[in-house]
Amino acid sequence: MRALKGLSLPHFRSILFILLLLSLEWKAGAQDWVRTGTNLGAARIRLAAADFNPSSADAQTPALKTTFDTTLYSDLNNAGIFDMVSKSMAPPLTPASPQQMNLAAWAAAPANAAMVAFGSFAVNGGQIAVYGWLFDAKNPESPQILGKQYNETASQDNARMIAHRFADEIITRLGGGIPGIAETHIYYVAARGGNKEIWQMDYDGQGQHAITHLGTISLSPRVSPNNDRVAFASLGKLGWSIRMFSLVLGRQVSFNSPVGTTLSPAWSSDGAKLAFSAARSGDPEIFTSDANGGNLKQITTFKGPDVSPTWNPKTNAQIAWCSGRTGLPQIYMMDSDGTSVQRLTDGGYATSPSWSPNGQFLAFAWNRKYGPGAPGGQDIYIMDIASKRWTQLTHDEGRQDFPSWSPDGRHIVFQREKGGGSEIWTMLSDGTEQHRLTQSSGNSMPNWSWK
Amino acid sequence: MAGFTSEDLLDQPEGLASPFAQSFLLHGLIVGVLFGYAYVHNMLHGSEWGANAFQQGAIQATLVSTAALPLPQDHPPTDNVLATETPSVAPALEEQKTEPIPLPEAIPIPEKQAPAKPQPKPVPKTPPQHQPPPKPQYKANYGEAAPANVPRSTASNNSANSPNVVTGGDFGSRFGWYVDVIKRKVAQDWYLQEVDPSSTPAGATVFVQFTVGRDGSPGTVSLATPSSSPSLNSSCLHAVQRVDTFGPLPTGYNESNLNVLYHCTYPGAR
Repeated sequence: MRALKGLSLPHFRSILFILLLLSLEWKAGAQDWVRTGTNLGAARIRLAAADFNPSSADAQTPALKTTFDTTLYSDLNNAGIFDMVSKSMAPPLTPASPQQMNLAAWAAAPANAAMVAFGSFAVNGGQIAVYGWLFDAKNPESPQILGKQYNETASQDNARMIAHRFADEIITRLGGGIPGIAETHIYYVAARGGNKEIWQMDYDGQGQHAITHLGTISLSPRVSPNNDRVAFASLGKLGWSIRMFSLVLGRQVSFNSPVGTTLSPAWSSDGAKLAFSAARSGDPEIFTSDANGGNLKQITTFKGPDVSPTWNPKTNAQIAWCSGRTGLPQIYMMDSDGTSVQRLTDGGYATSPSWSPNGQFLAFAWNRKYGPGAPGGQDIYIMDIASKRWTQLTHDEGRQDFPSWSPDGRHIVFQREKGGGSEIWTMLSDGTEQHRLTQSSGNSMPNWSWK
Repeated sequence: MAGFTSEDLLDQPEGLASPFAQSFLLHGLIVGVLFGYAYVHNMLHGSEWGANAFQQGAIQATLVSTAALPLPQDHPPTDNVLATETPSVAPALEEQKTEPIPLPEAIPIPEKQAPAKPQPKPVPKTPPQHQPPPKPQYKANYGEAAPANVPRSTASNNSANSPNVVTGGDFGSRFGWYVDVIKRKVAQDWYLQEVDPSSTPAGATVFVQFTVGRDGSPGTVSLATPSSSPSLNSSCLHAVQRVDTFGPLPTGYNESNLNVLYHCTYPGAR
């Protein structure tokens, strides 16, 4: 039997190989065949981002090019899919065009790059002109993967924007079709002078500025999927209600908020629906409505508070939310019409669910050992919806809350309270590479834009 | 006819009607009491039948320490809330230590040792000892399967300078980066937890075949060469099916789609 098996496998493999070759011959000219596979997963791509070659003598060039180089390297480093080549290991000469590119020098030690991003940066007559390429260092025959050209008015903001766009192109191409997040924004609540207003910043913490100036307390901003509106809960003369701010018009627009304390809005991924918590009869329940507040529907009727809904962005057919019907708040899930209620957490103090863009995971804040004298802290967890298995992402770093997924599903932004102040942090969705985005204390409730 | 004799008395029919009636009455009474008792008992305790005296408020979520996530994990998650980045196996060890305690006190409980009687299992373990010989063969194949990334090419005289390039079978050499993307995305979505380690030898390989459309979406996923392990076969199929897109096919590639033969090789239980 052993001998038979020993003989049969090589035979089998050779037959398979012959069949493969035959099929290749037969298919030649129609479609290509690729044979690949895995056994122990796949490592990150070793990517080098060369300093771009300054190809103009304009006085603005050095400062803008420094911004561009720093932003490009930072964006690629933050993407979570690259093993970046340190700038100190890069070859000293930076190529300005494919003709000047010496791939062997980049592929060799110490850089050992599998991919190289390079190009030229020029400022002519108040215009930035950038030519960028992405080359495969291990394929000298046909190395070019990407070639891009950008022209914008010369400014620091535009230098950063061009770097974001080029980085997103690279990430999209090498990351398997998932668009990069370098051009996304984060909306959050900033406490300044006794009021809490809605603020906006780039995904990397740059360009922080206020969106609303209402002079009251506004909480839980949620930007619409097409980035034209922000819904948030705000304290007015009639109590808490949901308000809508148009980012296109730069002013507040009407939203028919229900009577009673209304909190925690959430957009469906098609932008047609909102889910929120409203206490029309005194008990907070989950409602859904159209984007203008019409067509109001109550979908929960449980005794005890029901707040913080979040849609399954993949299907918009399910809503996860936070319910206190058994005492301490727990995470539940239901169909968007209120049926098929499932409980997802079974103890502790669980709040602030956020559904991942691919619909597979739920991120939430959880204090698993809640109570007086209990040792636990409140941390960010993610749960695989199908298997109900969870993973703890943050450990021993103060109190975490309000996680929000990035549109690529590779990052999570959250609020961390430590040492008296609360700040906005980001991390990869496996809990690594945590970065602080805000520095001024009193920043909370982040929400990552959809694109 | 002077009078009745004793024989006459015996000949007279006895009056059976009343004893029968009494007997029926008595039995009827007994049956009635029994039914009545059952009815009353049912009335008193019937509410426990079929009624949910202890209604749970919700479905309990099972908390498992090993999450099936497609994310690179440096350390496994742990139930110990105090644990940081160094997972501890202390809880498991403590449970094992508590078991021997009742043994000296409750010697007359051999029943508890009965679960420990799986000692006869060593008998089935002998056949597995016959199986190990194939393992080295698998490992040999494991080595053979490794260089599968070699691009298959029918014509190797392509160069960037020749205008009349015959495109066919050289995708891997022209767009190696895209092959890496395919390899990486499927690998990320391949959950080793789905593979049954008891029926899957290390090095077992399954070949899955699929096409990639111009927009990068995978299609027509099928088993090309199944392995001996059904769980490995399905896990590799699922890995491809989980992928939404690989990203658009390279612009230099002009065909409508790309055929891919992908192998998943089980690295063994970890």
